[in-house]
Amino acid sequence: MTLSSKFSLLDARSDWISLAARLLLGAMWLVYSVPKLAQPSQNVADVRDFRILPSGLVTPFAYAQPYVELAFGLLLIIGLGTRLVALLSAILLVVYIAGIISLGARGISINCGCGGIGGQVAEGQTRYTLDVLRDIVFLLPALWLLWKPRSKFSADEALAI
Amino acid sequence: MFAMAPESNRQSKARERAAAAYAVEQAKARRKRQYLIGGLVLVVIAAAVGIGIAVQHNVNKNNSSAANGPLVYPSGTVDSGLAIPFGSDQNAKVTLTIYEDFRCPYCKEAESMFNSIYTADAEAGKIRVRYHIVNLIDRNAGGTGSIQAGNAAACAQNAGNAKFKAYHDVLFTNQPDETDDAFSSNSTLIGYAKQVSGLDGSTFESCVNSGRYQPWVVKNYTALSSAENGTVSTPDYLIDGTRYNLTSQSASVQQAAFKAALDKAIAAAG
Repeated sequence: MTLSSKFSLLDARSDWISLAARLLLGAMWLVYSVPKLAQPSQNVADVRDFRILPSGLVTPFAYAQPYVELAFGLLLIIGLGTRLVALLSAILLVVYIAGIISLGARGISINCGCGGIGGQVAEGQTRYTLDVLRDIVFLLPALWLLWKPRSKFSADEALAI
Repeated sequence: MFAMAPESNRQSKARERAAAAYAVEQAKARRKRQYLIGGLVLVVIAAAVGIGIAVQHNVNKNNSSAANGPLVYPSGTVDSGLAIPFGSDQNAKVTLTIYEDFRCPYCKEAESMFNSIYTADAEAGKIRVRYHIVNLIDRNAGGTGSIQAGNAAACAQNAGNAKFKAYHDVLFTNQPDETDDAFSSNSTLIGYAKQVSGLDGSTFESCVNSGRYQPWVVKNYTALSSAENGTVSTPDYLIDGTRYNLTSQSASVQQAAFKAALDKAIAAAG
Protein backbone atom coordinates (compact mmCIF):
# COMPACT_ATOMS: atom_id res chain seq x y z
CA MET A 1 0.00 0.00 0.00
CA THR A 2 1.46 3.35 -0.94
CA LEU A 3 1.54 6.28 1.41
CA SER A 4 -1.04 8.19 -0.60
CA SER A 5 -3.46 5.30 -0.57
CA LYS A 6 -3.08 5.07 3.20
CA PHE A 7 -3.96 8.74 3.38
CA SER A 8 -6.94 8.26 1.14
CA LEU A 9 -8.13 5.50 3.44
CA LEU A 10 -7.78 7.92 6.36
CA ASP A 11 -9.66 10.47 4.29
CA ALA A 12 -12.46 8.08 3.54
CA ARG A 13 -12.86 7.32 7.24
CA SER A 14 -12.10 10.81 8.50
CA ASP A 15 -15.71 11.71 9.27
CA TRP A 16 -15.96 8.65 11.49
CA ILE A 17 -12.65 9.43 13.19
CA SER A 18 -13.87 12.99 13.68
CA LEU A 19 -17.05 11.67 15.28
CA ALA A 20 -14.95 9.65 17.75
CA ALA A 21 -12.72 12.68 18.42
CA ARG A 22 -15.77 14.89 19.01
CA LEU A 23 -17.34 12.47 21.47
CA LEU A 24 -14.07 11.85 23.31
CA LEU A 25 -13.26 15.53 23.71
CA GLY A 26 -16.88 16.36 24.56
CA ALA A 27 -16.98 13.65 27.21
CA MET A 28 -13.71 14.94 28.66
CA TRP A 29 -15.17 18.45 29.07
CA LEU A 30 -18.27 17.06 30.76
CA VAL A 31 -16.16 15.00 33.15
CA TYR A 32 -14.04 18.09 33.86
CA SER A 33 -17.02 20.36 34.48
CA VAL A 34 -19.47 18.32 36.55
CA PRO A 35 -17.53 18.03 39.85
CA LYS A 36 -16.76 21.75 39.67
CA LEU A 37 -20.40 22.60 39.02
CA ALA A 38 -21.35 20.59 42.08
CA GLN A 39 -18.84 22.37 44.32
CA PRO A 40 -18.22 25.86 43.00
CA SER A 41 -16.60 27.16 46.16
CA GLN A 42 -14.16 24.25 46.14
CA ASN A 43 -13.23 25.31 42.63
CA VAL A 44 -12.62 28.85 43.88
CA ALA A 45 -10.15 27.44 46.40
CA ASP A 46 -8.51 25.30 43.71
CA VAL A 47 -8.11 28.18 41.27
CA ARG A 48 -6.68 30.27 44.09
CA ASP A 49 -4.21 27.48 44.92
CA PHE A 50 -2.71 27.82 41.45
CA ARG A 51 -1.68 31.37 42.46
CA ILE A 52 -1.73 32.58 38.88
CA LEU A 53 -4.77 34.83 38.59
CA PRO A 54 -4.94 38.10 40.54
CA SER A 55 -7.25 37.67 43.53
CA GLY A 56 -10.03 39.78 42.02
CA LEU A 57 -10.32 37.44 39.04
CA VAL A 58 -10.12 34.16 40.94
CA THR A 59 -13.79 33.95 41.92
CA PRO A 60 -15.36 35.00 38.58
CA PHE A 61 -13.02 32.65 36.71
CA ALA A 62 -13.73 29.77 39.06
CA TYR A 63 -17.49 30.21 38.69
CA ALA A 64 -17.49 30.67 34.90
CA GLN A 65 -14.95 27.92 34.14
CA PRO A 66 -17.19 24.86 34.70
CA TYR A 67 -20.03 26.38 32.68
CA VAL A 68 -17.68 27.08 29.78
CA GLU A 69 -16.38 23.52 29.99
CA LEU A 70 -19.96 22.27 30.03
CA ALA A 71 -20.79 24.38 26.96
CA PHE A 72 -17.72 23.04 25.12
CA GLY A 73 -18.74 19.48 25.99
CA LEU A 74 -22.32 19.85 24.83
CA LEU A 75 -21.38 21.73 21.63
CA LEU A 76 -18.87 19.00 20.73
CA ILE A 77 -21.32 16.21 21.42
CA ILE A 78 -24.03 17.74 19.22
CA GLY A 79 -21.34 18.77 16.74
CA LEU A 80 -22.16 22.44 16.40
CA GLY A 81 -19.38 24.76 15.26
CA THR A 82 -16.95 21.87 15.62
CA ARG A 83 -13.86 23.60 14.26
CA LEU A 84 -14.33 26.72 16.39
CA VAL A 85 -15.01 24.73 19.57
CA ALA A 86 -12.02 22.49 18.81
CA LEU A 87 -9.84 25.59 18.49
CA LEU A 88 -11.12 27.04 21.79
CA SER A 89 -10.73 23.62 23.46
CA ALA A 90 -7.13 23.37 22.28
CA ILE A 91 -6.40 26.88 23.59
CA LEU A 92 -7.94 26.11 26.99
CA LEU A 93 -6.07 22.81 27.23
CA VAL A 94 -2.79 24.55 26.45
CA VAL A 95 -3.59 27.07 29.21
CA TYR A 96 -4.24 24.19 31.64
CA ILE A 97 -1.03 22.44 30.63
CA ALA A 98 0.95 25.65 31.10
CA GLY A 99 -0.73 26.16 34.48
CA ILE A 100 0.22 22.70 35.72
CA ILE A 101 3.77 22.97 34.43
CA SER A 102 4.12 26.32 36.21
CA LEU A 103 2.96 24.66 39.45
CA GLY A 104 5.71 22.10 39.10
CA ALA A 105 8.23 24.81 38.26
CA ARG A 106 7.21 26.93 41.25
CA GLY A 107 7.17 23.91 43.55
CA ILE A 108 3.56 24.38 44.68
CA SER A 109 2.15 21.09 45.94
CA ILE A 110 -1.46 20.83 44.95
CA ASN A 111 -3.55 18.09 43.52
CA CYS A 112 -4.55 20.03 40.44
CA GLY A 113 -8.31 20.23 40.13
CA CYS A 114 -8.03 19.64 36.41
CA GLY A 115 -10.02 16.44 36.17
CA GLY A 116 -12.21 17.02 39.14
CA ILE A 117 -11.66 18.37 42.57
CA GLY A 118 -8.23 19.43 43.72
CA GLY A 119 -6.81 20.74 46.93
CA GLN A 120 -3.50 20.95 48.62
CA VAL A 121 -1.62 17.72 49.09
CA ALA A 122 1.57 16.82 50.84
CA GLU A 123 4.83 17.31 49.01
CA GLY A 124 5.83 14.40 46.82
CA GLN A 125 2.23 13.38 46.27
CA THR A 126 1.63 15.50 43.23
CA ARG A 127 1.37 13.89 39.84
CA TYR A 128 2.00 16.76 37.51
CA THR A 129 3.63 14.64 34.82
CA LEU A 130 0.55 12.46 34.65
CA ASP A 131 -1.76 15.50 34.59
CA VAL A 132 0.22 17.14 31.81
CA LEU A 133 0.32 13.90 29.81
CA ARG A 134 -3.42 13.47 30.18
CA ASP A 135 -4.13 16.98 28.93
CA ILE A 136 -1.71 16.46 26.04
CA VAL A 137 -3.55 13.26 25.12
CA PHE A 138 -6.78 15.26 25.01
CA LEU A 139 -5.11 17.85 22.81
CA LEU A 140 -4.89 15.19 20.06
CA PRO A 141 -8.63 14.95 19.30
CA ALA A 142 -8.84 18.76 19.48
CA LEU A 143 -6.07 19.13 16.89
CA TRP A 144 -7.59 16.41 14.71
CA LEU A 145 -10.92 18.26 14.72
CA LEU A 146 -9.19 21.49 13.77
CA TRP A 147 -7.83 19.67 10.72
CA LYS A 148 -10.93 17.57 9.92
CA PRO A 149 -13.99 19.19 11.49
CA ARG A 150 -16.45 17.29 9.27
CA SER A 151 -17.96 14.38 11.13
CA LYS A 152 -20.82 11.90 11.10
CA PHE A 153 -24.01 12.71 13.02
CA SER A 154 -23.17 16.34 13.65
CA ALA A 155 -25.34 19.42 13.73
CA ASP A 156 -22.85 20.96 11.31
CA GLU A 157 -23.56 18.15 8.81
CA ALA A 158 -27.32 18.49 9.25
CA LEU A 159 -27.03 22.23 8.59
CA ALA A 160 -25.01 21.43 5.43
CA ILE A 161 -21.83 23.24 6.24
CA MET B 1 -36.17 8.42 -28.95
CA PHE B 2 -34.70 11.62 -30.25
CA ALA B 3 -31.05 12.04 -30.42
CA MET B 4 -29.87 15.12 -28.56
CA ALA B 5 -28.76 17.81 -30.90
CA PRO B 6 -25.07 18.54 -30.40
CA GLU B 7 -24.66 21.52 -28.11
CA SER B 8 -23.52 24.64 -29.73
CA ASN B 9 -20.43 26.31 -28.35
CA ARG B 10 -22.51 29.22 -27.10
CA GLN B 11 -24.90 27.03 -25.20
CA SER B 12 -22.14 25.20 -23.39
CA LYS B 13 -20.48 28.49 -22.42
CA ALA B 14 -23.74 29.77 -20.98
CA ARG B 15 -24.17 26.59 -19.02
CA GLU B 16 -20.66 26.90 -17.59
CA ARG B 17 -21.34 30.46 -16.57
CA ALA B 18 -24.56 29.43 -14.88
CA ALA B 19 -22.79 26.61 -13.05
CA ALA B 20 -20.05 28.97 -11.90
CA ALA B 21 -22.58 31.52 -10.69
CA TYR B 22 -24.44 28.74 -8.87
CA ALA B 23 -21.21 27.57 -7.20
CA VAL B 24 -20.42 31.11 -6.07
CA GLU B 25 -23.96 31.43 -4.73
CA GLN B 26 -23.60 28.11 -2.88
CA ALA B 27 -20.24 29.07 -1.41
CA LYS B 28 -21.70 32.38 -0.25
CA ALA B 29 -24.64 30.67 1.40
CA ARG B 30 -22.31 28.16 3.03
CA ARG B 31 -20.06 30.86 4.40
CA LYS B 32 -23.10 32.67 5.72
CA ARG B 33 -24.22 29.52 7.54
CA GLN B 34 -20.72 29.06 8.93
CA TYR B 35 -20.65 32.59 10.30
CA LEU B 36 -24.10 32.09 11.74
CA ILE B 37 -23.09 28.87 13.49
CA GLY B 38 -19.82 30.42 14.67
CA GLY B 39 -21.79 33.34 16.09
CA LEU B 40 -24.23 30.96 17.72
CA VAL B 41 -21.36 29.03 19.35
CA LEU B 42 -19.84 32.24 20.69
CA VAL B 43 -23.23 33.30 22.07
CA VAL B 44 -23.56 29.93 23.83
CA ILE B 45 -20.10 30.28 25.38
CA ALA B 46 -20.75 33.89 26.40
CA ALA B 47 -24.01 32.73 27.98
CA ALA B 48 -22.05 30.06 29.88
CA VAL B 49 -19.70 32.72 31.27
CA GLY B 50 -22.70 34.89 32.12
CA ILE B 51 -24.45 32.07 33.97
CA GLY B 52 -21.28 31.37 35.97
CA ILE B 53 -20.93 35.01 37.01
CA ALA B 54 -24.64 35.24 37.83
CA VAL B 55 -24.42 32.12 39.99
CA GLN B 56 -21.42 33.59 41.76
CA HIS B 57 -23.26 36.84 42.54
CA ASN B 58 -26.26 34.89 43.71
CA VAL B 59 -24.15 32.71 46.00
CA ASN B 60 -22.42 35.73 47.50
CA LYS B 61 -25.71 37.52 47.99
CA ASN B 62 -27.42 34.50 49.51
CA ASN B 63 -24.56 33.94 51.88
CA SER B 64 -25.92 36.53 54.25
CA SER B 65 -27.37 39.97 53.83
CA ALA B 66 -26.30 41.06 57.32
CA ALA B 67 -22.69 40.43 56.25
CA ASN B 68 -22.86 43.55 54.07
CA GLY B 69 -24.05 45.78 56.92
CA PRO B 70 -22.00 48.44 58.70
CA LEU B 71 -18.85 47.23 60.47
CA VAL B 72 -19.20 47.31 64.25
CA TYR B 73 -16.77 45.81 66.75
CA PRO B 74 -17.71 43.72 69.78
CA SER B 75 -16.76 45.40 73.05
CA GLY B 76 -13.34 44.72 74.52
CA THR B 77 -11.70 43.67 71.27
CA VAL B 78 -8.01 44.38 70.66
CA ASP B 79 -5.58 44.52 67.72
CA SER B 80 -7.54 47.16 65.78
CA GLY B 81 -10.77 45.62 67.04
CA LEU B 82 -10.25 42.37 65.17
CA ALA B 83 -9.22 40.05 68.00
CA ILE B 84 -11.06 38.88 71.10
CA PRO B 85 -8.52 38.64 73.92
CA PHE B 86 -8.37 35.96 76.59
CA GLY B 87 -6.12 35.51 79.59
CA SER B 88 -5.67 36.94 83.08
CA ASP B 89 -2.63 39.02 82.13
CA GLN B 90 -3.11 40.97 78.93
CA ASN B 91 0.50 42.18 79.23
CA ALA B 92 1.85 38.63 79.11
CA LYS B 93 4.92 38.47 76.91
CA VAL B 94 3.83 35.46 74.86
CA THR B 95 0.91 35.82 72.46
CA LEU B 96 -1.03 32.91 71.03
CA THR B 97 -3.07 34.03 68.03
CA ILE B 98 -5.81 31.69 66.83
CA TYR B 99 -7.71 32.05 63.57
CA GLU B 100 -10.65 29.69 63.56
CA ASP B 101 -14.08 28.96 62.16
CA PHE B 102 -16.76 27.36 64.31
CA ARG B 103 -17.76 25.11 61.40
CA CYS B 104 -14.25 23.90 60.57
CA PRO B 105 -13.54 20.28 61.60
CA TYR B 106 -9.77 20.78 61.94
CA CYS B 107 -10.44 23.78 64.19
CA LYS B 108 -12.49 21.50 66.43
CA GLU B 109 -9.72 18.92 66.35
CA ALA B 110 -7.15 21.54 67.34
CA GLU B 111 -9.41 22.90 70.11
CA SER B 112 -10.04 19.41 71.47
CA MET B 113 -6.28 18.84 71.74
CA PHE B 114 -4.95 22.28 72.69
CA ASN B 115 -7.78 24.15 74.47
CA SER B 116 -7.02 22.84 77.96
CA ILE B 117 -3.30 23.55 77.50
CA TYR B 118 -3.54 27.15 76.32
CA THR B 119 -6.47 27.91 78.65
CA ALA B 120 -4.40 26.89 81.69
CA ASP B 121 -1.44 29.02 80.53
CA ALA B 122 -3.70 31.99 79.77
CA GLU B 123 -5.49 31.78 83.12
CA ALA B 124 -2.10 31.57 84.83
CA GLY B 125 -1.10 34.77 83.03
CA LYS B 126 1.80 33.10 81.20
CA ILE B 127 0.35 33.81 77.78
CA ARG B 128 -2.36 35.98 76.26
CA VAL B 129 -4.68 34.59 73.62
CA ARG B 130 -6.06 36.45 70.59
CA TYR B 131 -9.07 34.87 68.91
CA HIS B 132 -9.90 35.77 65.33
CA ILE B 133 -13.18 34.29 64.14
CA VAL B 134 -13.48 33.77 60.37
CA ASN B 135 -16.04 32.28 57.97
CA LEU B 136 -14.01 29.98 55.75
CA ILE B 137 -16.35 26.99 55.56
CA ASP B 138 -19.34 29.09 54.45
CA ARG B 139 -17.21 30.12 51.50
CA ASN B 140 -16.06 26.60 50.73
CA ALA B 141 -19.12 24.51 51.45
CA GLY B 142 -21.86 27.14 51.17
CA GLY B 143 -24.24 28.12 53.93
CA THR B 144 -24.11 30.70 56.71
CA GLY B 145 -23.26 28.68 59.81
CA SER B 146 -19.72 30.04 60.15
CA ILE B 147 -20.71 33.67 60.00
CA GLN B 148 -23.77 33.24 62.22
CA ALA B 149 -21.83 31.31 64.85
CA GLY B 150 -19.09 33.97 64.63
CA ASN B 151 -21.69 36.68 65.15
CA ALA B 152 -23.17 34.82 68.15
CA ALA B 153 -19.70 34.46 69.69
CA ALA B 154 -19.17 38.22 69.26
CA CYS B 155 -22.52 38.78 70.99
CA ALA B 156 -21.26 36.60 73.87
CA GLN B 157 -18.09 38.75 74.05
CA ASN B 158 -20.36 41.77 74.45
CA ALA B 159 -21.88 40.04 77.46
CA GLY B 160 -18.45 39.48 78.97
CA ASN B 161 -15.11 37.95 78.08
CA ALA B 162 -15.57 34.90 80.33
CA LYS B 163 -18.95 34.24 78.71
CA PHE B 164 -17.32 34.44 75.28
CA LYS B 165 -14.67 31.87 76.24
CA ALA B 166 -17.27 29.50 77.68
CA TYR B 167 -19.60 29.91 74.69
CA HIS B 168 -16.68 29.47 72.27
CA ASP B 169 -15.86 26.13 73.94
CA VAL B 170 -19.53 25.05 73.90
CA LEU B 171 -19.83 25.78 70.17
CA PHE B 172 -16.74 23.73 69.32
CA THR B 173 -17.91 20.86 71.51
CA ASN B 174 -21.24 20.86 69.70
CA GLN B 175 -19.91 21.44 66.21
CA PRO B 176 -22.09 19.73 63.57
CA ASP B 177 -20.71 17.78 60.61
CA GLU B 178 -19.03 20.04 58.06
CA THR B 179 -21.84 19.38 55.57
CA ASP B 180 -24.58 19.99 58.15
CA ASP B 181 -25.13 23.73 58.43
CA ALA B 182 -26.79 23.51 61.87
CA PHE B 183 -25.14 26.76 63.05
CA SER B 184 -27.09 28.65 60.40
CA SER B 185 -30.07 28.51 62.77
CA ASN B 186 -30.08 31.36 65.29
CA SER B 187 -32.36 29.39 67.59
CA THR B 188 -29.82 26.56 67.67
CA LEU B 189 -27.09 29.08 68.56
CA ILE B 190 -29.31 30.61 71.25
CA GLY B 191 -30.04 27.10 72.52
CA TYR B 192 -26.31 26.46 73.08
CA ALA B 193 -26.07 29.76 75.00
CA LYS B 194 -28.21 28.16 77.71
CA GLN B 195 -25.14 26.03 78.58
CA VAL B 196 -23.29 29.20 79.62
CA SER B 197 -24.68 30.56 82.84
CA GLY B 198 -25.99 34.10 82.57
CA LEU B 199 -25.47 34.39 78.82
CA ASP B 200 -28.91 33.79 77.37
CA GLY B 201 -31.29 36.72 77.64
CA SER B 202 -33.13 39.22 75.52
CA THR B 203 -29.99 41.29 74.84
CA PHE B 204 -28.03 38.27 73.64
CA GLU B 205 -30.95 36.94 71.60
CA SER B 206 -31.64 40.21 69.80
CA CYS B 207 -27.91 40.56 69.13
CA VAL B 208 -27.74 37.05 67.61
CA ASN B 209 -30.85 37.66 65.52
CA SER B 210 -29.62 41.03 64.24
CA GLY B 211 -26.42 39.53 62.81
CA ARG B 212 -24.77 42.84 63.63
CA TYR B 213 -21.26 41.40 64.00
CA GLN B 214 -21.27 39.48 60.71
CA PRO B 215 -19.30 42.26 58.94
CA TRP B 216 -16.72 41.94 61.73
CA VAL B 217 -16.31 38.22 60.93
CA VAL B 218 -15.92 39.05 57.23
CA LYS B 219 -13.35 41.70 58.15
CA ASN B 220 -11.33 39.10 60.04
CA TYR B 221 -11.51 36.74 57.07
CA THR B 222 -10.33 39.45 54.69
CA ALA B 223 -7.47 40.34 57.00
CA LEU B 224 -6.40 36.69 57.21
CA SER B 225 -6.79 36.25 53.47
CA SER B 226 -4.54 39.18 52.65
CA ALA B 227 -2.02 38.04 55.28
CA GLU B 228 -1.91 34.62 53.64
CA ASN B 229 -1.87 35.90 50.06
CA GLY B 230 -5.35 34.67 49.37
CA THR B 231 -4.81 31.08 50.44
CA VAL B 232 -6.73 30.76 53.68
CA SER B 233 -6.70 27.62 55.73
CA THR B 234 -7.90 27.20 59.28
CA PRO B 235 -7.09 26.71 62.03
CA ASP B 236 -4.09 28.98 62.25
CA TYR B 237 -2.24 28.88 65.56
CA LEU B 238 0.53 31.43 65.83
CA ILE B 239 2.86 31.52 68.81
CA ASP B 240 4.35 35.02 68.83
CA GLY B 241 3.60 35.23 65.13
CA THR B 242 5.18 31.88 64.20
CA ARG B 243 2.74 29.36 62.81
CA TYR B 244 2.24 26.19 64.78
CA ASN B 245 1.10 23.48 62.38
CA LEU B 246 -1.19 20.57 63.02
CA THR B 247 0.30 17.22 62.06
CA SER B 248 -1.15 13.79 61.45
CA GLN B 249 0.46 12.46 64.62
CA SER B 250 -1.62 11.15 67.51
CA ALA B 251 -3.33 13.63 69.83
CA SER B 252 -1.04 12.89 72.76
CA VAL B 253 2.11 13.48 70.67
CA GLN B 254 0.69 16.75 69.29
CA GLN B 255 -0.40 17.90 72.75
CA ALA B 256 3.08 17.28 74.13
CA ALA B 257 4.64 19.14 71.17
CA PHE B 258 2.24 22.08 71.53
CA LYS B 259 2.88 22.33 75.26
CA ALA B 260 6.63 22.18 74.64
CA ALA B 261 6.37 24.94 72.02
CA LEU B 262 4.40 27.18 74.41
CA ASP B 263 6.79 26.44 77.30
CA LYS B 264 9.76 27.25 75.09
CA ALA B 265 8.25 30.60 74.09
CA ILE B 266 7.40 31.39 77.73
CA ALA B 267 10.93 30.50 78.85
CA ALA B 268 12.47 32.57 76.05
CA ALA B 269 10.35 35.59 77.00
CA GLY B 270 11.55 35.23 80.57
